[in-house]
Amino acid sequence: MVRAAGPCLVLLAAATVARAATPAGDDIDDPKMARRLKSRTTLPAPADASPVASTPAVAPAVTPSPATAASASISTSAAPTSGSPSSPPGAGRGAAADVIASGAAPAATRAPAPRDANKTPTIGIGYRRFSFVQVGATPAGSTTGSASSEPFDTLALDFYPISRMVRFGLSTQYGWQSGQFGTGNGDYFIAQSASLGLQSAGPVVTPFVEGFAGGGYMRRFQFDRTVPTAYWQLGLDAGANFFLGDVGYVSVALGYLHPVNGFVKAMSFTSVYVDTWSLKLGIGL
Amino acid sequence: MSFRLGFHVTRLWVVVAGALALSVGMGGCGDINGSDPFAGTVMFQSADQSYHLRLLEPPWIPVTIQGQTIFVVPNSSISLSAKSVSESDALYSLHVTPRPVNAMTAFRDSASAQTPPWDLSNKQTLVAIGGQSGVDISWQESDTVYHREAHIDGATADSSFELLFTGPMPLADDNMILQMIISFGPGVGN
Repeated sequence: MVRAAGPCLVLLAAATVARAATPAGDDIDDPKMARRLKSRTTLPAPADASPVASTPAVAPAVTPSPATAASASISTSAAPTSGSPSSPPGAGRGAAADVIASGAAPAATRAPAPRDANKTPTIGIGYRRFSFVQVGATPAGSTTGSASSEPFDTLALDFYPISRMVRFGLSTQYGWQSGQFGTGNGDYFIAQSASLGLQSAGPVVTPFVEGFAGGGYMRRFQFDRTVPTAYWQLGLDAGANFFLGDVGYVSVALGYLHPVNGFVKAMSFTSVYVDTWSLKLGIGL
Repeated sequence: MSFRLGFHVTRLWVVVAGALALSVGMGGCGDINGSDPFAGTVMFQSADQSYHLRLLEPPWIPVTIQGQTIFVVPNSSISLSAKSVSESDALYSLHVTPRPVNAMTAFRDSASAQTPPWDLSNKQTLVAIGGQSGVDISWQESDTVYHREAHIDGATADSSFELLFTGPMPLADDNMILQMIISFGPGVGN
């Protein structure tokens, strides 16, 4: 049985090579002519085929995508029949135009190249909300002296220079004390973070997990004074990008966040941190 | 050219972000848990150890004038680290005064001395973190002068302290002022 399979495989391979070397339905009897023409094929020209569109010399040198190659193959097999359904009356073999199969097909016959089936994010805008503490403040009714909660709303511009199975991102964030945007009386921060994570690219859903770290400036507004402080953070996000065709994506992620506020306290540097959860929503391309 | 410039900017961006991330990783995760009581504040102990309180320093600075310690937030033209600020430079101020009666009696005495009298419906009772009872009230003196006064029991039944805050904005709902009030206690603090 194994001995029988060997010749079969050889025959199969030879047939494949032969098909690849000689396009079906475009055999040329004269070997010299065949060598000169090489991979030239004959396609029916459109009714208004202009010399510019059919001149091989001006065909852009674009590597054909599978879809482009497929359309060329279809046109090739249809070429000998003068009564092609798409051909207008009179547009037979005599009106055919030559194109080079290895170059790009005319615009009229080129199909749009599809995007990769599996999609990953490149750039986006994210919104995150998390709770920090208002250092030096205590909520009314407190019996423990614990600091007041201070929610922050954050907008981030996310950019992923590397976005394959591994993704590396850069995120520029601006966060403001919730309810104090634009009032001039609230706290805010500006930070730059880097992220590193893994993702499983899919045609519609790309789940991911990524860790991130970064830092920047935090403005504290205390007793009508701006107190400049430092801000840095560590975090871990897990979520998914949902791709909406070729429009872009929306993303949702649940994150663990460890924000830290560093400042001068009685002439020495100290820092206050919290461990909190956060929700991040985003859109992008 | 624009591509090369963009490439360099991106590379610089990556380096800066990486350095920041690395510094965060190496810089530790912070000193004080934000859920701890009075996180990030400084414990102030009076020279005679008769009272203590927690304050945010800066912007608050304790200064001694004629033997008495007052606490001020200097206005924006004064450096927060300056030790030579006077009360006239203060945006906010706090005076701490001992009283030879309990907090409720001291409050009533202050109320009867006010002209015009306080609106006592604004009175709020409180319990300091050390367990001492107290009462505080806020009022407006003029367009740009607001007060908040708290009376907190002292170490004995016939002693208390008066905390008088003055500032340019309403102080009634200020949680930073409240933090200073409930952190107040007689004697040496923890």
